[in-house]
Amino acid sequence: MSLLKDFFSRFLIAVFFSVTGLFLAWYSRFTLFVLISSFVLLGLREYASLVERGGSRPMRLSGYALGLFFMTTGYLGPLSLQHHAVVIAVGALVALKAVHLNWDAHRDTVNDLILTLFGSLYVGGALSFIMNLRTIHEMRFDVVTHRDYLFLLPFIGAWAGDTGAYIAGNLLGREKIDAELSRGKTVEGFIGGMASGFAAIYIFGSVLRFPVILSVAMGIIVPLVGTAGDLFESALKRRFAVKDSGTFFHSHGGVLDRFDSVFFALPVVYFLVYYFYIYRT
Amino acid sequence: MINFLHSLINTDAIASDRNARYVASAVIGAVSGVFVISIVYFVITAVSSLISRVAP
Repeated sequence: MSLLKDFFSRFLIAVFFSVTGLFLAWYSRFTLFVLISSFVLLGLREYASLVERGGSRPMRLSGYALGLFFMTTGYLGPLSLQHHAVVIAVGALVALKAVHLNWDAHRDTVNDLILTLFGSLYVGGALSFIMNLRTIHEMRFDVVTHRDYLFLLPFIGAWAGDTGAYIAGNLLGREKIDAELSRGKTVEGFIGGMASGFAAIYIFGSVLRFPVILSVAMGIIVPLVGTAGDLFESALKRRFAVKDSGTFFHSHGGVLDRFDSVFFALPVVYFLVYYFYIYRT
Repeated sequence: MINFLHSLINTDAIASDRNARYVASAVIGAVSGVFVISIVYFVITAVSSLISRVAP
């Protein structure tokens, strides 16, 4: 497929899912919760299929339950509730695995336990920050206008970064970053991604009336952690020898492929906003 | 359009000079960022308008 056709195919799919997603996200908090929870389940399913290729046996049902548990705590309450949730979840998972150990003593229990817990935090824990970003403004957020758009910031930063990296990398990419780290990533693509993410976040931050320092900080940090998330997922896929984690988004791949940058960017955006608007005041 | 841009940008002068490639990548990236945020703006406006019609 030519670069142009590939680009427009990706573009149309992105617009379709963005419109549908935004509609459900703004319709009510509950529809947003249902939408993101569905992505959590799909993402955890892809994650479990990935690690099973390496011979591990993550506890699928417990992982799904844990992911939804994080989402529910994000929906119901403030971040402090999630701190308790993480402790309770780890305890519950360890207890569950201890029971499981009696049934199947030959499994690599610690490995399975860590993989399950990590998957739930990586997918469910990260995406639950969307609910936190929707509720943070209810606490004290008079300064920011268009507050309901706040949760879009990590998506805009990460996806603008992806787009800039894709276009700059395809047009000018010559120098590979590191063949072992990622086969397709180039220095030119990285620069394009950083510039694209910065421009999009800075403009969006201005619309939200962020202080300049916050827009600049986010413009630099979010594309950077987004790239780290992208590389992390690439490493995960290469470890288990797959090209895409799934096919839910057609040419965009699966949920893990599409949200890889966002998983890392969401907590960073939340804590930056928290620091500037709540902790410092 | 991208093929055209590709032929326009991918001249020997830029392709062979590392610094020129980096600067061109940053410019292309910044333009892409503005393009993405413009699309986001239109999508947000369209969905907001849709919701104001159908929301309870």
